[in-house]
Amino acid sequence: MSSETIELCEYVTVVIDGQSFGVPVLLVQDVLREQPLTHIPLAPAEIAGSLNLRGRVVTAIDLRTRLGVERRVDDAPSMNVVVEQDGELYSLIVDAVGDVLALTMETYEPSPVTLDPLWLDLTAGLHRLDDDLMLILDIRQVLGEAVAEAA
Amino acid sequence: MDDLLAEFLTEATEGIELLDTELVDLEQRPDDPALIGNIFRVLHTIKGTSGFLDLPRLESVAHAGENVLGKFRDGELEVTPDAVGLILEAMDRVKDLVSSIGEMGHEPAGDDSDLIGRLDAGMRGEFGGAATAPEPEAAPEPEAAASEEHEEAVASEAGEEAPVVDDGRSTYERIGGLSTIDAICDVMYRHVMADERLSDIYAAGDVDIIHGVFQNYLCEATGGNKSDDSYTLTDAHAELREAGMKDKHFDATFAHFSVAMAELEIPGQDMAVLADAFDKARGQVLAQESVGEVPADEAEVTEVDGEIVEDAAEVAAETAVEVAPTEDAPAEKEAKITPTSIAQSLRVNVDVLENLMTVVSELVLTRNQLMQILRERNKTEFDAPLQRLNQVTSELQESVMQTRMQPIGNAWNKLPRIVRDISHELNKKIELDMSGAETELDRQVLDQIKDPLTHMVRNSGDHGLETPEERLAAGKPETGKIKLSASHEGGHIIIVIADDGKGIPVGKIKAKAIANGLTTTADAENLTDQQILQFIFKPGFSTAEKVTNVSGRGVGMDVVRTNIAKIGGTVDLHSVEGEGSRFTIKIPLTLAIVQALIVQSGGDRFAIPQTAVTELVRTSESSGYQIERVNNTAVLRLRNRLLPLVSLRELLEIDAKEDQGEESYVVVARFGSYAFGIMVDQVFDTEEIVVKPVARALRDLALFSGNTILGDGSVVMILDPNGIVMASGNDAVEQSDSELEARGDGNQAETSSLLLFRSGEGAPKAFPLELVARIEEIDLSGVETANGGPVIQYREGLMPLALIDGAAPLGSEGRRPVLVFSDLDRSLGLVVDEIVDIVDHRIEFESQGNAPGILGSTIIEGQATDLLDAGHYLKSFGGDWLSRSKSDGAAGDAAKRRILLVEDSPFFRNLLTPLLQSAGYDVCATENADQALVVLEEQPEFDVIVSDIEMPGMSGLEFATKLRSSEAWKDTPLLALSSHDTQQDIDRGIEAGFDEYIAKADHSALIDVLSRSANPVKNAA
Repeated sequence: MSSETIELCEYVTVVIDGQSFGVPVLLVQDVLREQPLTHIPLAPAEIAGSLNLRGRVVTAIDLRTRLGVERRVDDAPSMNVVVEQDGELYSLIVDAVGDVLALTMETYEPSPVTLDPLWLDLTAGLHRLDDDLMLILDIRQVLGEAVAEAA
Repeated sequence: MDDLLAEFLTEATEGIELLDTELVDLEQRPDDPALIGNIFRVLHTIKGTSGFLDLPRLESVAHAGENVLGKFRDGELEVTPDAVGLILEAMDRVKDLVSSIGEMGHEPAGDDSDLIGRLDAGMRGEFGGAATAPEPEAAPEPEAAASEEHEEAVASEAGEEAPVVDDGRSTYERIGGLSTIDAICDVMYRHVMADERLSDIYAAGDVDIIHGVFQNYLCEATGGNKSDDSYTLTDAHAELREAGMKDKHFDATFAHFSVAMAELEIPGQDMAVLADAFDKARGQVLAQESVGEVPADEAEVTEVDGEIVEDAAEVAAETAVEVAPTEDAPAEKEAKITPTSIAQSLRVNVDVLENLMTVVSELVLTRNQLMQILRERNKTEFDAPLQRLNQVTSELQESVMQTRMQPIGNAWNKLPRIVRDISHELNKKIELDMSGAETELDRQVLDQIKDPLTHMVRNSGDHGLETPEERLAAGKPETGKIKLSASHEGGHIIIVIADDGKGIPVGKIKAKAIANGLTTTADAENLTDQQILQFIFKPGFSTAEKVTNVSGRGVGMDVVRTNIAKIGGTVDLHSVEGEGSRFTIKIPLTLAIVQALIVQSGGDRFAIPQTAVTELVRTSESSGYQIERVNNTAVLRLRNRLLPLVSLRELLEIDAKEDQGEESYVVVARFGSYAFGIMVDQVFDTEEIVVKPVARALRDLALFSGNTILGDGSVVMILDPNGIVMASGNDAVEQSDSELEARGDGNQAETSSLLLFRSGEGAPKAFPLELVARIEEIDLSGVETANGGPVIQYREGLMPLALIDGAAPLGSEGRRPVLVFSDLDRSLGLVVDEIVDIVDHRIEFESQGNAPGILGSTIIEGQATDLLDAGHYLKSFGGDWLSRSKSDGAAGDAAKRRILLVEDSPFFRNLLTPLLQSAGYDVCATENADQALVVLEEQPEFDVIVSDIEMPGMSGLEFATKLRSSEAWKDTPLLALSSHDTQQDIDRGIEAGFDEYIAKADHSALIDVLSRSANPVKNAA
């Protein structure tokens, strides 16, 4: 019992290209509807632009590009999940945002080793849900490359 | 640990870390000059700072290494693997030393003579085989390590005498040696001088002596060496006694001493030792006072205090450190130890302030949005509260900004010590005079300006000031002065560093510049002295004849200028040989909130810091400015020179859509000595923006210096002019500031008053004011028709009226302004829509107007303005309107007469030529006297020569003298045309050989005189 409570994790579920992902809820600052973005010339492809969140500049990262899946069709809806990393705000652009799930280690599995290496890098295992598999996004890794590049 | 030492260690460590990779690169690419330059610079900095922090081992290793690198840099030595190995070894040693100092607070004992010997041999080109492994550092022996000041003076004796503590090291070593003691003295001085009871007593006496004496005393008492033997206590003692140093004064001084130790966080144990030492000194002083006789030792102690105080006076005055003056309370120790000022300030984490700043900017944005919404509605009940909100927000913003401000004195703290150091080392007498230390600026800017300032003051002391002998020989006081001052000016802070030294030798600079290939002999001849001086800002330039420890091997002024430019500042140099030089630095008060110009390129908006923007040019066919291409490189002709352009679209790789048109605006920007134009699609307002750093993910985009949120809530990137210069990789755009200015000045020759008005659609229009006799307003209902055109009764006559081409019809009601042109008894009115302004403007337009009636276009106050051809309108009035001369007899012959017109201003050239032609003359117009002489040579059949007086190159006066002295032209009528028409001017003109002298504006006089002069009887004068 006690071990389960300790390892109880809450995730905001998001959908990208039909696949469910979980973002640790503690990292999430905000969930926003589609926002007007300022295009940043010369920036890496996954950086979709920047937006103003209550006076703070948020760098938006398109998870589709980051995960290497097909680009979003122009008028397809999107959502922003704003996370904080090392004092900076980043917005993850996803197709849709679902429920917040509280999950225990019971349903946890490491990512299958045969997963696309890129995805393997960006995820930290998965949870078996009743009707779906939810990959856990490793936010540090997702933002990591961009951050490391600059350092 | 001493602040200075800590700072130095941080800097040195950073520098060394940077070098780590570069050293490896150097092995791969041994002949990359940039790489050698970088390593050289780091070593140079370490050497300089360790010299004045008294770290002799570090200094000597760095110095020896730098010598070798200097040879590499100058190409005198080949970079071989052996040589690189040796440098690597030296860097390793430096690294070891720095880290030891970091751990122990002082240099470890040890011997570098082998390494230095090999480096010195290396400098002579002898690399004795592969580098040997760095010899193991001698483990710092507790006692021997006390030798901080002089490596040869190992402090064994002192160590023995010193109060020894548990770890076997003396107090002296543990607190960080001389530098800490020095710092204690400094802090105490400050406090003492702020104390009214003490300041008078300590105000007399020599700072250096007192400082030195006290330092020596404490060093000895704690187990270190004397820092300098030259100070003895006897000198200062008498003064202090005379001033009335009493027991209670000593108590008060002691209190400040304690506070100073506490401020510097001296450990309790050591504090006790120091306090004890101090108290002993007191005992001696008091004893001596009661006895009334002064044993030498005791005298020393007293003086010590005196010195301290004096230094304090200096420091306190300079740095404006807040020290609450203690009142005239009785001299109770406790009361003194706790300065009342403590309660009035508190330390706040910088992050908290930054956060506050963020929140406030958010508030400002919200306020702006609210104001925007409410502005669109009339009178609501929100108006009053919003007004208040507005005001409070502004105040809040100001207050928050205030918290970031620090007095510039904080950046000056080091300087007195550095100057003292220089004066000792170079045997110069230098007085540092600092004023305006309380001037506040943003701490971020403060950090950035520290190093350049230090460097420049060092330069002044080293290169600028002469030795006492030289000064005396030059009839100057023995002591040289360096003046440092700061003041506010608008949104800027102006820092002036001036010395009364020998100035910068223009001749040497010129020779050096030529020798270094920075310019050619021919080019240098055409440069003014001020332009030549600008060469000192180029990389690799130094005129010091001998390499000194203090400054000097060409590391410097280029870096100084670049660093200042990075924070949006400029540096100007003024120097007079023999009298001294003056550097003026202008920097913005803050980097956090800046004025920025908002531009658009391919649908994206960007901000450009206003400090970088010098002007805006709208290019179009009609404005006279056009973007031209040289082999696909865009350039713009701006005031007789070519400005290289960069396309923001291309630079940022923005795909513009079809409908976004051309990049038709040019933002003329300046970064350091680079001037260039940035082509953009659209220019919006300037806005005050809060600069926010970009996310880490974007930090390697050198083109952006930050981002910001505009009033409408959208995010824009801030362009970094430096990054643009780098990205466009164009060093052809380099030109000196003074060159730009000089060009500007050259063109300033002709400013004219222009009358600006509107008529019809399009740009404002302008006439030279001097052509317009009066401005009247007429009632349109009074307009009648006579002689086939509109006329109005005016001054008991009929004045014909005309409209500017393209203007709306006259109408029959209301009132409209009229520009009245007069010719003796006749007047003519041009009806316009609105008089805008009268401006003094330099007339310079490159292209002639395409439409008849327009001479061309120029930019007046940021707006394209058409300059109208008065001649065209006047002629349209019955042809002979102006040409009809009073002397009827001339009319018939005039057709045959040829006039040579010499006039440098295109405006007047274009104005006068048609005017004269319409009067029936054949006109040949030339731009300057030289050209005119050539024309005269080729076709000598001119009847009259009309020349301007003020022209670039040969002036009209010289021209006249020349003509009068030539056989062919000595009798030709010569008319002067000038805007200066005082009697004195006229006399000078006549003297030079002109027959008549006519005011430029007075066209009827010109025509009149011409008709007389051109008569066969050629005797005017």
